[in-house]
Amino acid sequence: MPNVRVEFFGVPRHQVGVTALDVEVQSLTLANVLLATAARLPEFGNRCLDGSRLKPGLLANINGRCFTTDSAMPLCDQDAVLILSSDVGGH
Amino acid sequence: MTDSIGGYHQRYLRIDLSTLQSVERPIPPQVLRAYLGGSGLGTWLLLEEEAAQFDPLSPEAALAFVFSPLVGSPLTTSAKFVVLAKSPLTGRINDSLSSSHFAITGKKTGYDAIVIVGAAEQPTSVIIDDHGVRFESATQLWGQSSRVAADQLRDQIGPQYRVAAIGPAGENLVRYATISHDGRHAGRGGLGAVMGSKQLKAIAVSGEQQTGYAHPNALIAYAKDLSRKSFGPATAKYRELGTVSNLLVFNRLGTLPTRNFQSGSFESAASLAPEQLAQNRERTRTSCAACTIGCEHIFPLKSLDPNSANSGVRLEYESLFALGSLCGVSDPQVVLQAASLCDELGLDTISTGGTIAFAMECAERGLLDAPSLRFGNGAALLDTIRLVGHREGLGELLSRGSRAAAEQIGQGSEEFAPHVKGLEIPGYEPRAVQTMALGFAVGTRGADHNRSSAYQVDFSDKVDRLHVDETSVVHAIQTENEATLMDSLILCKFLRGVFDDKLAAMAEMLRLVTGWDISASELTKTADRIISAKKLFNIRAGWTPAEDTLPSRFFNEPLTNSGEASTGAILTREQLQRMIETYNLARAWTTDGWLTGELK
Ligand code: SF4
Repeated sequence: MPNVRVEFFGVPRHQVGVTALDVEVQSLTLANVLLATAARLPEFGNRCLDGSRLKPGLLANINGRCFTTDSAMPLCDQDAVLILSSDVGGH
Repeated sequence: MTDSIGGYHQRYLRIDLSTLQSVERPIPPQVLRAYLGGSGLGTWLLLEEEAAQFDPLSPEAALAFVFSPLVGSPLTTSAKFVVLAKSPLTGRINDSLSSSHFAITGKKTGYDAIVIVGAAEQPTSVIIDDHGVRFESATQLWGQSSRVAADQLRDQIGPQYRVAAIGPAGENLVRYATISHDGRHAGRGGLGAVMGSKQLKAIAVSGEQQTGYAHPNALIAYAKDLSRKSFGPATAKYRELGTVSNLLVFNRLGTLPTRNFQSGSFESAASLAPEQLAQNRERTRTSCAACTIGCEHIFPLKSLDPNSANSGVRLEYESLFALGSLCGVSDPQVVLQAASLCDELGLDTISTGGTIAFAMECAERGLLDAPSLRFGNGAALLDTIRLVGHREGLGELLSRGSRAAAEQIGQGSEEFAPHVKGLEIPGYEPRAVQTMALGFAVGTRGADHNRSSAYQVDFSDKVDRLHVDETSVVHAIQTENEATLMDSLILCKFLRGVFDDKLAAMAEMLRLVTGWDISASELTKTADRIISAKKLFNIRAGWTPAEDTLPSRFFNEPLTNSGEASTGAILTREQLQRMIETYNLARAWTTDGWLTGELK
């Protein structure tokens, strides 16, 4: 089964108490990865998700390159999904 | 007197330290509407004073403390003021923001701004209150940190006064000395040295003069709603962790400047994470006056002096990167001590870290005879900060910033001196955030993330941050316009995430305060005008298109050791030049950035 690494930073890391987690997902979209993560980490589902979307104030980044909140975003096997606070940067 | 406008006193106070005289001057209503307050109004005042033509450390130089229409209102995060002058570090316009009670109380003196010219014959404090202006000897305060000086002055004149002061670095004319109030700093560009050159140790303000508001009840209702929103998810990062949480994110993205911009990630970044900085003891949280967010996190600090108690130090991402990864320092206690030392001396942490990191690279390459100055040597970092603050030994050379140091060291060191227009580059690796690279290059005060805010574009789905082209310029202009307006109204930028439509929200707040029926498109023109006015100042101060660029390192060296995300990133001179030209034309300037007519 395809595998995606989910990494938590900032507030989401603080909230779920985990740095990173590997999840296996059959159909590789951001939504499915988020739901698979919530299945493993209920605290993530409770605090970071509205359904299969990230809550306001949060943002995903794929492999350190592409920022998105689009749950339909297709992913690839071995991708890394970073979960961040949406206001990246600032002094 | 003209009809009153809510939020304004419609006058400023001009103090001449050479003659120990002061006068009130009116500010025409059309100027207030055209330049708003804060950074915008201060730019107008500097142009009025013809400040561009004078040496920034000469008696003729003007230094402006500027308040805003929103300060003193119930709107959250509005307790801010701006200090402006021609920078002794860059020779260009400089506006630095600071916060808290000095802003609220300063405006209650009955002025929208305080402009200071001349130079006192001896160390002096200026006291401004409802009885007028008086001058006190500051001989006893000279040599003290800004914190101690402010405490002693308030003991002397009364706790109702709020004080902005300089530390030893300002007295010693270090060209990146700060002006401080209540632990917060007008940090960038060396305005503390401008105060020092005037022998002005401190300004104390007290007053009871309030402005009215055009729609007071609606303003209170709006302010309540804004405060409620400010507790929401858009500001959670600032409340819960503070800006230091950027460090691990930037490290993962490969955008964390490391060892004088030689790479974009730091192998010891985890040791500088907030959890490590606090270790076994809890950090505490505080805020500027009249702020419902409270982003300031105070970290426990072990005293360097065994006879002194441990204390705490406020730490932001910019200080953490500049005194940590940029200098290759991984010991969190050293970084906290370095930040505390900069606060005590009154030094801008970004320029301090940037200049010392540059010197470390020079020393490692054998261009500078400083055997202990090596990346990662925390003791050398702390020693060098002390030398800079007192302009002793190597500190004399480094007290003038990385540009001036490179000019003296030569041997090709200019290629990696980390500055634009003389201002050291903040914590964003330009090759990996290329819209921000444009913002650094064209910034009127030099390499600056806050005036441009273009990093917001790079950290969004609007661009590929490693392959940015002219299409990003429209976004960079939008963030710069919004930042300009927020710095002129003034509101804290950490509030920006709560607005669905920032321009509409700013127009509404201005309407409630002033009564002006102002549209979002008028505000866009206002931002354009303020940015062009800053450019006009720089042109009068000798600006040429050649200075709108980055150090050669960023064009000549692809980014290495920056993780899978950013390793190999490269910015070409031609790519940046195309973006600059597009930016200039979008600002209605000539292709190479000259103004095309009068300010509109
Ligand atoms: S969010 Fe932070 S910087 Fe902004 S006003 Fe509040 S405490 Fe001050």
